[in-house]
Amino acid sequence: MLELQNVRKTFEDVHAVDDLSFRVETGDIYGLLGPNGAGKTTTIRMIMQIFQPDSGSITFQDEPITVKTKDRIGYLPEERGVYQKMKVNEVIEYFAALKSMDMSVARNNAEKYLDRFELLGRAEDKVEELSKGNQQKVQFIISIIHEPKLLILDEPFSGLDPVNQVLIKEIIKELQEQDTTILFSTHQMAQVEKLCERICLINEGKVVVEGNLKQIKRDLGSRLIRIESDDSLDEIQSDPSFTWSEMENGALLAELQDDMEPHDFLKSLIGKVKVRKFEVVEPSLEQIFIDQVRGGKA
Amino acid sequence: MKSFTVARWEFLHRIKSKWFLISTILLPIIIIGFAVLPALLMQKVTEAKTFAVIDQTDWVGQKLQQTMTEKYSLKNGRPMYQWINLSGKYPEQSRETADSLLSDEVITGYIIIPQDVENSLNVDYYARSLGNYSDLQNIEQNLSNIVMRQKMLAHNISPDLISDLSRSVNLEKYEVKAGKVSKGNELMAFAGPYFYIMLLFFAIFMSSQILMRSVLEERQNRVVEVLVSSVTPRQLMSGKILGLGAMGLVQVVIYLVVAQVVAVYNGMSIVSVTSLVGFIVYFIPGFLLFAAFYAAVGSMFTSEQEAQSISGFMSFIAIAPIVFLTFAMQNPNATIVKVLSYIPPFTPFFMIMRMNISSLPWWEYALTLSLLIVFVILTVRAAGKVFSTAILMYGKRPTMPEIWRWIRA
Repeated sequence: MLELQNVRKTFEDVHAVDDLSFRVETGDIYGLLGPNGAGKTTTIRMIMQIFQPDSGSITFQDEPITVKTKDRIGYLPEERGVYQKMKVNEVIEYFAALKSMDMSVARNNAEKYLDRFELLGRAEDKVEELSKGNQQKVQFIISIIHEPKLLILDEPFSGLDPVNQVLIKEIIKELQEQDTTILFSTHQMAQVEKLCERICLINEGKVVVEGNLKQIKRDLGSRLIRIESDDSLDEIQSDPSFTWSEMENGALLAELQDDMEPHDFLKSLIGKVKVRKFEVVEPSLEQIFIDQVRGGKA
Repeated sequence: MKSFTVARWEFLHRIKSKWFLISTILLPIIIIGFAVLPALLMQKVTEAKTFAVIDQTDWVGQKLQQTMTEKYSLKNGRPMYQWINLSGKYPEQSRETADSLLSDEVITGYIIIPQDVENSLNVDYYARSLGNYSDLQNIEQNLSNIVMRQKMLAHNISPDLISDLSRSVNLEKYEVKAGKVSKGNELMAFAGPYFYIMLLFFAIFMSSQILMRSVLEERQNRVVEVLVSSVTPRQLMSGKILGLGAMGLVQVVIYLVVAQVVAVYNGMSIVSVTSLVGFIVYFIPGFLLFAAFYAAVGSMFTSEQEAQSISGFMSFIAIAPIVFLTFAMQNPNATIVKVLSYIPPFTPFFMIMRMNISSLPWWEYALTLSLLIVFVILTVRAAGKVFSTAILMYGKRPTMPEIWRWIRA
């Protein structure tokens, strides 16, 4: 379990992270979201002990994170690179050694993952001879080579083709099954929706929304409905229960008034039109993200 | 422990690189090559040279041929010079013959010995090129001897007596160091300090520059963020310093062995226990000082060009003793030399120079070393702070007040 409590960090006059708290349970994939400059990287760097927080506490498995804890953490930074002039297997082994790994285990793991990423034949090649995408894979292997208990991935999918995105997703899922706690930072919302159960959306260093993704969607998005009917929906479109409505491919998309529950509205429809399909539309995370970030600023 | 992992990697990585091979193995070879090759080439002459003599005296030319054939021989035992004797009776014709031989490249050159050579002391030499300096010197010297000898005999003076009487005094040189008297060698007296200063300069600056480049590279290709997620910036910095320091030492050992082999081959010795211990004692703090400084510089910049301005300035510190060397050799006790050896960044260079010129009292070692060590500790600490703060800062370059604030933090 990774826990941040009231963490603050100020650079010069900028509150990079302001009173941030969240908790990632063991074996969870947790999404840390936010626009550029929201404080995600600073938060991660504080977890990694690269920066010290000005106040607040960060614990992993109920212990403060120290240099020793770092051996159990894997980190794939957004700004990442590998030594260009070194051989692939040498690079992986060096970073494994820096995690205090047993070298024979490291070699086994390296072989296993290189094989999965179809890079085994290139283990003796220099990194600079690899394509950007393949270098990305090597970087990902480096972050998981030591079988970390906590894995922090900052934009792990950027620069990868769909096939390899799926492969990385698979591996992330496998690690989750082995009780690895995963903190996943991104602004690619589609990935978060597929992977994360819980999320924390931050903006300007502060938490905007935090919790179970489904719950958040329900809380923030339950006012949007979609009706399909064989009858004309023109009459209903001007219903005073809506704050806003729109026809979309013959279906009606509308947002309900605050005091109107979807369930009650459905009841009121009966008799007026023949409803073929009635749906409470969950907003995409992207929608929530944009709404919340804009709303926060307004 | 992790510092050692970094150190081990830096050490192995560098030592296996082509660059190390080139700079460590090739550099001494090149230096020795430049020193030894010309001499080797000179010895390698296997072809005899032919000169023509137009002798109007009837005896000088013959005598010259005889002496020089006996005196100079090639490696294969054959005489180095061959002679064509052209009659001196018809000088015009002989010259024509000589000129045609010259243009046909049969002979290297020819000399005309005039009849009154004993009085005029003048012999003319003609050749396509006058570059064969040593040959000409040989001819000149032997001609002089022959003529001189003849004149002495003419005056009833024994040439053997003269050569005995005109022998010069030989100055035997002894070096007195720490109460020990040893037979001195002027060449060594200069070569010793010069060699050690150059060695120190190379060992310190090559390794420190590599250290700086390595930090710059890790910043440029963004490996640094992955690194500091496994080790602390301090572990990273100390690991690099250790690893590259070890590499520097390996280089030093190789250079020392090569230098000693060359010295012994030439009947000298360049490595002694005192000079070795002294070198190591000043090399270690000296290297730490510059390495820490360069690491901090590397952490503040993103490109080598930017960093070069500062690092270039730093190498002046090391060049200073080389500039001072000749002066200091003649005036090892000059105030300026003494004062400079107490200023920490200069200390290693000046002390190594001074200790190889003359023996110093123990307190000078103690005092310069203590000052140096205190300064090294302060520098390493400050550099560590700058390194830890700057290593992940991209974009704007830190200003002097900022750096000062980090150091005091």
